[in-house]
Formats: sequence, C-alpha cells, structure tokens
Amino acid sequence: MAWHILKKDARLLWLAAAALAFTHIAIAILRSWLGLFPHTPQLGVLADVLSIIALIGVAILTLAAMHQDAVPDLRQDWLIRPIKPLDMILAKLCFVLLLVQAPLFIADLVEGLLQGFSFPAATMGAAARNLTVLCLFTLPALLFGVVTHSLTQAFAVAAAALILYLAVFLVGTVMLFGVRTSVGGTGLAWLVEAFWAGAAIIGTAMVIGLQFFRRATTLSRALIFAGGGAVILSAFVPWHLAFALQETLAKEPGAARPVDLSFYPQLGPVALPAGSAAPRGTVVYVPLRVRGLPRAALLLLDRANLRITDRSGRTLYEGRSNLSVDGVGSILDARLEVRQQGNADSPVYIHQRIFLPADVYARLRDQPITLEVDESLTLFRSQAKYSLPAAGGDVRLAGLGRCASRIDADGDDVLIHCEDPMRVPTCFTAELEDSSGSLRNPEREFCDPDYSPVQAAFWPDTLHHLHWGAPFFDRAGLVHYPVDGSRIDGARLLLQTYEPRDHFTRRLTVHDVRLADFASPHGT
Amino acid sequence: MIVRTDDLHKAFNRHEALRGLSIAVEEGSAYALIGPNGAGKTTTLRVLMNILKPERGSATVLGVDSRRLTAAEFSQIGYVSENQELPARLTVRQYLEYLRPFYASWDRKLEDSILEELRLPPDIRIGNLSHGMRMKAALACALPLKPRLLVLDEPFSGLDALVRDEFMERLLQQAGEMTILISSHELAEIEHVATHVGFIDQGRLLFQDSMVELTGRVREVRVTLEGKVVPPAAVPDGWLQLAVAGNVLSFVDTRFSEERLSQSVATHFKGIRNVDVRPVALRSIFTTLARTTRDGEG
Repeated sequence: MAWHILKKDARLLWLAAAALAFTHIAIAILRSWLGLFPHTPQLGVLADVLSIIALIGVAILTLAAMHQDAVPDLRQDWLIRPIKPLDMILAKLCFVLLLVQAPLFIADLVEGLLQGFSFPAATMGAAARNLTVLCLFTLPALLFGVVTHSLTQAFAVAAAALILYLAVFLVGTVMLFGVRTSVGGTGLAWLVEAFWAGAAIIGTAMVIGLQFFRRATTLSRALIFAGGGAVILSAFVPWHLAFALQETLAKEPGAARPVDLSFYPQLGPVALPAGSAAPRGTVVYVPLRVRGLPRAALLLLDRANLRITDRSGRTLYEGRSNLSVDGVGSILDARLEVRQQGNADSPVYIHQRIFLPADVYARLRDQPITLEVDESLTLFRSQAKYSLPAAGGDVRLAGLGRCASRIDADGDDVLIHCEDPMRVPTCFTAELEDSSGSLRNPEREFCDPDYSPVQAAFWPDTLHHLHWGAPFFDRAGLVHYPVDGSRIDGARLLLQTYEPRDHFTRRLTVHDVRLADFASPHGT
Repeated sequence: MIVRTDDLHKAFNRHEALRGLSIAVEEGSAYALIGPNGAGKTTTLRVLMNILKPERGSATVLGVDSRRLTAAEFSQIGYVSENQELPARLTVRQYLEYLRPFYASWDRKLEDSILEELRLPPDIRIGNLSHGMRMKAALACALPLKPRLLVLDEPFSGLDALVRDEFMERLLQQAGEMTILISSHELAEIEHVATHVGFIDQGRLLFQDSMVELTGRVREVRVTLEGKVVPPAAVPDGWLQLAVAGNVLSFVDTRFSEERLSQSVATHFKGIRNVDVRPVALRSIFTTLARTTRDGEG
C-alpha cells in the first residue's frame, strides 16, 4: 500500500515537485553555461539565488508531503483508515527520495557531466551533495513535518526555533559572554557538521517511529527540542575529545612522531620588520625550535591551550592562547605555521604568537612564571605540484579538477577558479613564474584547513570550488613584482598543494621566564 | 458489545472532558450519544477511534482495546465527522479510487449508487465542495466499505434540511446491516434511526437506555384539579419540571407507568378532574434532562 499512498501524494504535489526539479535542472544548465568565470556576473548571482530558493523548495516540498497525512492533527481522515504505519512511513520516505532527492541528484549529475567530469566523478559528487542536502535540509524538514500539521505551523515553529537560537546562542552566549565554539574555524569543524548529520538521521528515525506507531507528538517535539539543543551544544565539544577523534582518523598515523617542539631562547626576541603595525591585542612571542619536520612538510597549529603557573605551581592563568580573549584578533592572527623548506630534519626556528588578556599580561609581565602550552598540531605533506597559464587558462588537472585563470578587471591580479566534484585542496602555496622560468613573484600561501574524510558541500552547487588571486601589479607603486604586467604574457601559476597526514599534540613547558621577555618590539 | 468503555477519563490540560464514562453499544444497534455542548461526545468518539488516548479507563471497539486498533479493525469501521479533513485537492472520485484498495469489502456498485443518490459531483475537488457536500462525500467514503461499525460525529451539524434528508435516507438504507454509533444535537433526526440512546453531560453518562424503553417511560403529564394546585412537599421520584398554572399541574414523568402514575397522582392530589398523558419526543426528553442536570434538579 506504500506505493498506493505515494501515488496519491505525487498526484497532489506533482506540480510543486516538477517546478522544483525544473529549478534544479535550470540551475545546473545555467552554471555549466556560465563556466568558471561568468561572462554575465548577474547571471552567476541569479544562479546562486536560485540555488538558495531550490534548497528552501526542498524543505517546503518535504513538509508538504508530510502534511498530506499529518500526524498530530485530530481531524485527518487517514487516522481512521486501515493504513499501516509502516506503509505510511515507506510512502513518505519514497516520496522524499524519488521526488525531492532524486531530481536534485540528476541535476547535479547533469551539471557534473556538462562541466566535463567523468561519469563516476560526477556521480560521486552528486551523491555526496545529495547526502548533505538530505541530512541538513530534507531530514530536518521531515522532522518538522511529522510533528506539525500545516506549513504555517511548521514555519512558525521554525521561526521560533531560529529566534531562540539567535537569542540564546549567538547573542547570549557568543556576543555577551564571549564564549567561543571549540572547533569552529579549524580543520575540525566538519566533526560538528558530521554530528548534525548523524543527529538528523537518528532523530528522524526515532521521531518517525514515535509519531507513526505511537502518535506521541509531545514526546517527539521534546526529543526534537533536546536534539536541537544537543546540535547547538555540539559546537562546544571539548577540544581534547574532538582532537583525539581526529587523531584516530589521521591518514598517516605516526608520521609526526619525530616532530619535536622546544623552547629556544637563543632565537632572541621577535624582530618584526620596520614599519610593522603594532599587533592587535596583547601578544607575546615565544621562540621555538622545531625539529624532525619532514622535507616539504607543513606544520599547522590547530589550537594551543596556555597555562601560566608561579614557582609553587599555582595556576595564575589558563586559557586558549591562539585566540584573542579580548575580542580583538582572531584564530588566523595567531596561527602558527611551520614550513620545512630545507633538508629533512633540519631544525626550523619560529616565534609562536600567544594572545593574552590585557589585565593578565599587566599583572604577570614582570614576575617569574612557568609557561605550559598544550599544542594541537597537524602535519601536512606536499601533495602535488601544478602549473597552469596565468591568464586564459582552462585546464583539467588530476586532483585539482577543472581550473581556469584570468587577469581581473583591475588588471593587477591573476585570478584562478578551480572546481571538482570530489574535493579541492584547502592548503596550498602559489607562485607566479614568467615564461622563461627565471623570474618568480614571492610565494603566497593559503590554508583554510578541512580535515574531513569527505568534503561536503550543499551550496551553491554539487562542485567544490577554489577561488584565489595573486597580485602582480601594485597601483600605488609601493611594491614591485618581478613578474609584473610586462611579463604576464606566457607567465604560469605554480601551485603546491598540501594534504593533512597526521594530527598530534605536544606540550611545551618553559620554566622561570617573564612574559615581558617575550613582548613584541612594539610593546604590548 | 461491539463498543464498550469503562471508567474512561480524558483531560485537556486542566479541563476534564471525560470523567469515568462507561457506555456499552450492542452489535446491530444504533446508539445515539447525546448531550449538551462540551459534554464529551466528540472526545468519546475520538478515544474510541484511537485518535485520542485516554488517561484512565478502558475502551474496546470490535473487542480490541482502542489503543491497539490496527488496520484489520479499521477496515471494518466507517467514520464520518463534521471535523473530518478529507484531502482538499483530490476530487471525490479520486479519493474514492484512493480508498478502495484499502478495503477488501468495498462495494463498487454501492459506491456508484451512493454517489448517485447523494447527488455528489465526483469530479469537483473536495476543497471546493460546500460543507453539506463535504459531509455527504465523507458518508460516501464510509458506506461502500460496508462497515460493521459506523461512527458518526455530529454528522448533521450545519446541514440544511434537504441535505439532512438525503443524508438520513442514505443512512437508513444500510442501517440494519451495521452498528451505528452517532453523536448529534439533531435529536429529531436521531429519533428516526436510534435504537439506543446514551445521555452524557460533563464527561459522565447520566443514563443509557433503549429508545423503546426511554420513550415508553417518559411522558408529559397534565393534571387538572377541581381547585387550585398545591404542589406536593415531596415530589415523587422521576417527576421533573413541575409547573403550576391555576388548577393545572404539568410535569415530565421519567418513570412512567400507568399504574404508578395513577397511584402517585391519587396520593398527592384531591379532586382530580382530568389526567392527560402524552408521549414525549426525544428532543423534549433531552432538553428536560439537560435542564434538570444543569439546574441540579436531578
């Protein structure tokens, strides 16, 4: 009978389903036609907006399907019909899969194929996005649909939930009390998203069962409320737990075992270039020596927890040191990146920037202290090197996908846009090299780490995108690039990508020092 | 008993809709559940259909606990309610097509004849039908399955006289083939179909009886005396709504028997000129009992 119920729902909602499917396909065709650098930017914006509308449409169509046979309503005719709950569940799930998810999958597959990707790659990309949309849009909509009896009620509940979230979480917790999420802005952010997806799947299974077999609407709503709370709180998962989980998922466990970090006072205080702006916030620079770093490797600090004690071991301050606690600076400001550019095992010397609250620094700057820093680190290895024309390039590169380059409208930057159905690199360095290969502009690096096993994207489309730009001309005349406008013809962009291989922790302990010794030349 | 409730309790927040309701419906009967607004009629039917769950007590339908009704039982139950929400965007024909496969006993010829008799436009969307037409559509979706139990919740509410007649006519044609449990204010309509009646108020059953016994034991009585009526100090059991106008005493006797009435009248009054006894319509029985209950006379 599930098929029979499905046919009834399809008969009632075919127009909405067809409109949504048409929108998905139209977006796919529009994106493919526009290419990597849309000749009409407005159409690119239109495609982005349509993508948002289509995702909202996914949620609304799912809600509508559930409301055709609303569970909480006392007046629904189906409640007194000989319809087995299992048939009803199967019918609704089939509707979602066949009329909501499948058209999206087909449109994404079409887009992947139109963009020239292989059938398996396009299929995998479309499937990954489909699963992401299912977990982040369709299943939550299904959950709302099964505990409400109309779109109006569902929208009211969703609006109330959003207002509650904004009021309690963003305003109350983050803005007023300065509480920060633990993994947000790091390569571990995917863990929270994975938790959301898991919560959506488990929550849907539980609530659907409760509603269709027991019609326990109050309990179901309470479960959804509790689940929503857990989803919000998951952003505050204890760092050590999240990182320990990430360590177990390392692609090359043990690769970072030889890496050693130690305090290296011989390096002296940090020497910032003349004319450098004063750092934002209260910052100290701790000299470090890093040994055991493999050749062409990159070491990235994901988080550092700081503990300052006095001689008796009493804790004077404890906090997160790679994030300004005063609200200035950011995670990126205090990121520690160590690159091994010499031979393997050559030591690398670097100053680690540590943010401190201003009052803590003022109170402790001149007293002897012990500094303990628990570092959570990730070792990246060089993955691949790519070379593509700096302007007018449109090439396919294994591991990078389809890449195009051009000179921007101002005529001072090389822009690249790469896309791939599976994943694009999140850490790389790039250099602009002239046609003879003898001149290179200073290397630029980019790293927005993502340690997820599978990159998940749901907007704007099925492909993962990498947008980046490299300047070659300074209109103010302050900077002169070896490869400038006169040499840009035939120039090539050299990309070196890095992949995370191992995650590990180290504890750095520095005894009997004064914070003032590590102050920046600008003072703090 | 095809339907039975024992000490049924159901509350909505602080409001107790059912307070220990116990009714019993015999198979083959047409049981009318009557009572004033808010008495708990709809709640009772919703508990019986497992749309609502009781807090306490038990309800069995077709011998099965109402909380455990499955498709097997629902395939033998027809349900028509004034609040029923049929799929508004389907036509009557499309909805009947949808329902047919769920019922092994569905009678296609009966369906056609019902559509014809009720003059239902089969190709108009249910959402575009008037209230009366929607009620007829609901009946047309309940009768072709030849239910063993037909539950009707305020089916005549908001229907004009013509539609009521059509509705009743159709209902009466099949009345003998099934058990009917009907809640309604339209007592004149119920009178034609009900074999049993249960009167509930404030979630409690005040009485249940067969129509034959009920109409047999309730009479409107007018006693005309030679002189001015002096009402008795102790009113005999079962005399309700006593009214005096000069030398005439009128009341409703809810425990009527000729012998008992004669004895009571003779005991309490002298100089009796005339005793006029008339049968009472169900509507009057209901209003009398309802007023009595409300005023605390009973």
